[in-house]
Amino acid sequence: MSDEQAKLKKLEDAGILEKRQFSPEELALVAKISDEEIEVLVKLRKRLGAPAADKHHIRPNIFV
Amino acid sequence: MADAIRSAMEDLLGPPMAEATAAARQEPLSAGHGAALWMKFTLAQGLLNTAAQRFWSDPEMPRFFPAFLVELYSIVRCSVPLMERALARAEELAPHDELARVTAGYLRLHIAEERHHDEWLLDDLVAAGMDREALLKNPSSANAARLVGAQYCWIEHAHPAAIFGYLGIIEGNPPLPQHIEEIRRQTGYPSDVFRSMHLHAVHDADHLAALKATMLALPLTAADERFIATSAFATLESLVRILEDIASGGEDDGSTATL
Repeated sequence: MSDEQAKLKKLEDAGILEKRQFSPEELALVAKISDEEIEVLVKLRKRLGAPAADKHHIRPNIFV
Repeated sequence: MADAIRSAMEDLLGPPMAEATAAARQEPLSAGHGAALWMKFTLAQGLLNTAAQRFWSDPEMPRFFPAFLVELYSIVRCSVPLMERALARAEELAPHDELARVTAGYLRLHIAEERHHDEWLLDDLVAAGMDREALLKNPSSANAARLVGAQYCWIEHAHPAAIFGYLGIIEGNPPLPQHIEEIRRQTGYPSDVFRSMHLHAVHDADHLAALKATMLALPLTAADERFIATSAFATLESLVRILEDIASGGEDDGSTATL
């Protein structure tokens, strides 16, 4: 597995990335994210726990 | 003597952030960095949505909703002054800095779009039964100060384009009318409390489209991309902490005890 594929898998396994939602071009950009940045995202994802089910309409409602 | 100390410090710590950023910005520019940055924002926005789903689905949400409103006001009232400071810095740098010139152009338009929104939100909080004068005098929570203060640090000491990371996360998930109505039903507050949320539901999708178009065209180096992503991820972490602390009744929950 290439480094880029490994990065995508890591994000997918962590529940951060759903590959089917992105085009091949977008996934190519995601695969270039640095290891350090991926770690930040994975760490935060673990802290958040499981997402609430059937709540896709929910938004933060925070604005500037 | 001062130069010797400065030199010794730089040996230990590297050059000051602004100089480091300026040096890094001698790298080749590429429009592709904007697209890569936007993908980072997209992943981060997904995480913020996950945090939001937990926050708004909490059975205790009606109890802590007033604290959310106070914290939201703390953030919103900082927004235009923050963008004005970023604009001023960008205008200072613009004659010799293309990224600063584009940043300034974007901010001039966006500040006009966001001006007075703090006053509208204040009216909404008053409609929720809070005291206007007390809200105006209420100092922002440490969490809100951390969120906004990080931007002042980067704007002053690195580059005003940091604010794209802030805006990209906060404006990345515009409110949805269906969700606002759900909150209204769950909390029992009158419709007037949700006027600002509804206005943002209407307008923020356009704001997001304009921000994305700007981001994709930004003249960025690889170092700029990393820098703005750092700002975005710090913004994400601060917002998650704000939601967590409000829900848990933490010390930085924007206490409404005196409001």
